[in-house]
Amino acid sequence: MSQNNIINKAGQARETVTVYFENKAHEIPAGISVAAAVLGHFDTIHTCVNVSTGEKRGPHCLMGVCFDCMVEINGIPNQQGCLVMVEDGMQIKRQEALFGGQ
Amino acid sequence: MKNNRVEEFEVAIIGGGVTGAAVGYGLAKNNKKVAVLDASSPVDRASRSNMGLIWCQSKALGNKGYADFGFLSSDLFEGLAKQLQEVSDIDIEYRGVGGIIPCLGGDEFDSRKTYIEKLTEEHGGSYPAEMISRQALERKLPRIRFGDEVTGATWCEKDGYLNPLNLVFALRKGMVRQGGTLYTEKRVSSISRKNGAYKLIAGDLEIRAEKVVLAGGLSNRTLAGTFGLRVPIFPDRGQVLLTEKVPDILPIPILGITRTPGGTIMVGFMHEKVGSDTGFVPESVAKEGRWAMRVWPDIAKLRVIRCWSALRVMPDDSYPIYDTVPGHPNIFLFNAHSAVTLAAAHVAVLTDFVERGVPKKEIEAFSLKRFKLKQGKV
Amino acid sequence: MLSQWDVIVIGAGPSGMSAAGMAAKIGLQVLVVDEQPSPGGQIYKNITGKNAGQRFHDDELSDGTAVINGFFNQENICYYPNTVVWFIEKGRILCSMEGKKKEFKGIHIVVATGAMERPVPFRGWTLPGVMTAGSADLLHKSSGVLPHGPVVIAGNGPLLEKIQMTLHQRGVEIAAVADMSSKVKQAASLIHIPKALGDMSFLFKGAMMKKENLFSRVKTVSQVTGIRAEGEGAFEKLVLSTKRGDCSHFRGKTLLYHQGVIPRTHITKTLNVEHAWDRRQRYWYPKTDRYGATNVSGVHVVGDGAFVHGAAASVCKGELAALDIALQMGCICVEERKNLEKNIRSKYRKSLCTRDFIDGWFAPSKDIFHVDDDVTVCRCEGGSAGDIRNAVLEGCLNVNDIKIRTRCGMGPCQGRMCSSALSEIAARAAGVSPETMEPLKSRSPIRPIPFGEACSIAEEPLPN
Repeated sequence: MSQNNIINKAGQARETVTVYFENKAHEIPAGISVAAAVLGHFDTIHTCVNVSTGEKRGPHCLMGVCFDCMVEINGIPNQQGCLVMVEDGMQIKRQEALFGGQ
Repeated sequence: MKNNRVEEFEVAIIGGGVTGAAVGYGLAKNNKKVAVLDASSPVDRASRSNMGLIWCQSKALGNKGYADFGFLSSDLFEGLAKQLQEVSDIDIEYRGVGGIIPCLGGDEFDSRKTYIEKLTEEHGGSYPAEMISRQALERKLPRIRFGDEVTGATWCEKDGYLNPLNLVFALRKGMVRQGGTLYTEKRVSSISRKNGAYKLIAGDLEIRAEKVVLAGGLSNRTLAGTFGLRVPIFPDRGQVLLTEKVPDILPIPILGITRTPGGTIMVGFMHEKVGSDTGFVPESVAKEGRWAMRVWPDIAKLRVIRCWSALRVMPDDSYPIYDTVPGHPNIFLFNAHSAVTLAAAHVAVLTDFVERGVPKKEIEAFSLKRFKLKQGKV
Repeated sequence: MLSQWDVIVIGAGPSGMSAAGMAAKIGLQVLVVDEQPSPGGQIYKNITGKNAGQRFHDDELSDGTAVINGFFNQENICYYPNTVVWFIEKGRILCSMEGKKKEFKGIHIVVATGAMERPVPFRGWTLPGVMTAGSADLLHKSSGVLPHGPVVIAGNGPLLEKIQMTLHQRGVEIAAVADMSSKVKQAASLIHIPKALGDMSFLFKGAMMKKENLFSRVKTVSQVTGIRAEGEGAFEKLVLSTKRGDCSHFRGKTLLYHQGVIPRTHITKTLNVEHAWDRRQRYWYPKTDRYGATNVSGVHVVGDGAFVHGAAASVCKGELAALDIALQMGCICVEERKNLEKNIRSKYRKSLCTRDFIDGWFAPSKDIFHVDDDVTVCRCEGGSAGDIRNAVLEGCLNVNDIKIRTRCGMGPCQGRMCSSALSEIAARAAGVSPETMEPLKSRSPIRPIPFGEACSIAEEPLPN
């Protein structure tokens, strides 16, 4: 993930970006992680369903060790939201199924 | 002079992996006073590090006895699984669903076909494996999109898989519940003859037993070495990639790509002769992975969660060794590289060997005599 | 790009940056790789981003900025953020950069991956809305996002005071603080006060924080011995019980739990570095000499990943390791190392003045892992405390065997969140001290990596 997302075409650092969570658009501050966006800007704290226990999970450690902030980003599943920065146009979905569907 | 704890048994089994535990379970079931001593060093982790396959197909041209022994074991698994569930409450997750070896390209298909034809001939025209076309393969595994190079496969109905870790724990627990004794973290450091029986020392524990079974995998080399015997086995390294869990898209194991009952995909099939090195070499494993991607391209998108590298116990000619130590008819030596596949047979046949002191017909051919070994001094 | 570096530093937190900076100053060629998009580690996370002044307290801002400026002012440092190390062995690492496999060779490796919150299971800890004091601190520092109030805070440790103060200053409602610290341990730590007086400013800051928290009049329950989180699909209330025998509960949207900080040992265990158990802090840490060198030649460990001492000490540890490496590479002699380390050692000593007092005051109780059988221990796979105890009864006396029997430690986090509990619960069930049981082993891949990428052929380094 490059830093280019917070530089707009005019070469200036962007203040906000538009991302889609579960297909709904949100304008949020640039330069934050997807997990922070979930906790602070999407009216939810639930990111994924645990594949072994079926429990709903949400971001827990915020530093990449707990694997509970998993989301699907731009069609790629199992991304740790706390390690990925938001980018303009990003499509974020909850990780609720095993790879390949139910 | 240390005051060792002394325990007496009819049979002491050194090694609590899949083979030792199978014999222990069988003996306890027959009311023998048996103990299993287990302490695995880093080189002795074969029972913890395998794909859990029950694999009979393509074994073994030129050794009908071995092929038949494998099929015998396969047939016994359903019964063993039920028994173990009852006696230990552990489900070994046995799935007798058959097994597949995919062929990439026309040449591979043809050479496999020839091989199966030869095996069929050797088995008097009836061998439970056959070639299947790509279309038939796709019908068997409809949720897998096979790579373009896949031309078909061999299919054997006698194959299958189980949870190998549960198998070991179920056999151990089953043994204990039927009166056997399990010692863990107890490495046997010496075996000696004492008053017509054998004395084993493992830390502060002293075991006296009439009969001893050496089921220590690669450690059998040191154990049997006590009696001047060179055991013709060598370490054969395999490395495996394990991915995140997937739904039930691979209900039939493909040799080299297996889905565990829990959902993890395991990829691995290499054999490397690298001494006792259990290091993990990403480049070697990458080669295996690239083969897997040719068979099933979608696997590329799965994430690898962990890997392991472990040593198979490989007899020099790849066939099992079931014998007694020369000069010691009460010390039994068991080594096999397909010990999971053969586990069900081991429960029946090796237990019988230990009890009667004489091997059944099915396993007579697997003695040490075939190696024409030079013996050292006792 | 070089085809081989003198030093590869894993982690761009304070210790990693200072190790890199010192090594580069001496003239070594240094590669720094870090999984985050900007330097600062956890303590200074996203300090280079916009509005850092609003997200960091003044002293952290100035300390962090100083370390980062020192880092960026050096030549000879090649810094790759967004780079995930997934394989490591003496002499080289394999990384994932923008979805591609890359190999980097280096003579010396400096592990600077820092520390993490001690993961302690309790009933309900997997509910969304349950986080740690440290993660709330990270969240706010790096993004300005505050946890949803009302917030319930529970546990024992220095970060509790800090997060309470931060939340209060930001106007987040704190429903209650469940204090699980031990008066006995606190009393016992007072003998370390004379030594702690060597760092008055640190003590003063701590005292001011404590005073502010006291004056905020947040409801505090002391001598809490047991907690459980409840809620339907998310945290809704904390139920607690105290040593005095009374129970109460507090409703909230977020629960912040804290039981101290422990070194991250995943990489050091993968490298077969020898570890030791600290009885007071109750954690495993890599054994290092006074320069951070381990029993594996070519591997140094610095920062809180060597032992939890805080940011100031971490900077010193990083610099000392760099000096040691420079000596081993023949770039400086023993006399030069002695001269260069004088100032660093005196800063280091000062930074450790308060350590015995703090570590003693907040020392974890040996009972925090003594949870009921049905409490989930392994967050990834679902294994419970009871599963672990049963495995011990069945004869699994080695934590790595318990892993195989219960699946604890087999999921994506590879034991990061459950190995502390595994060690403690298994040891207690076996009637032994945790230090007599070898800890959970770690292997590559250090982090999950896409299969296709892991099996691709590593890209050759590009010519300069």
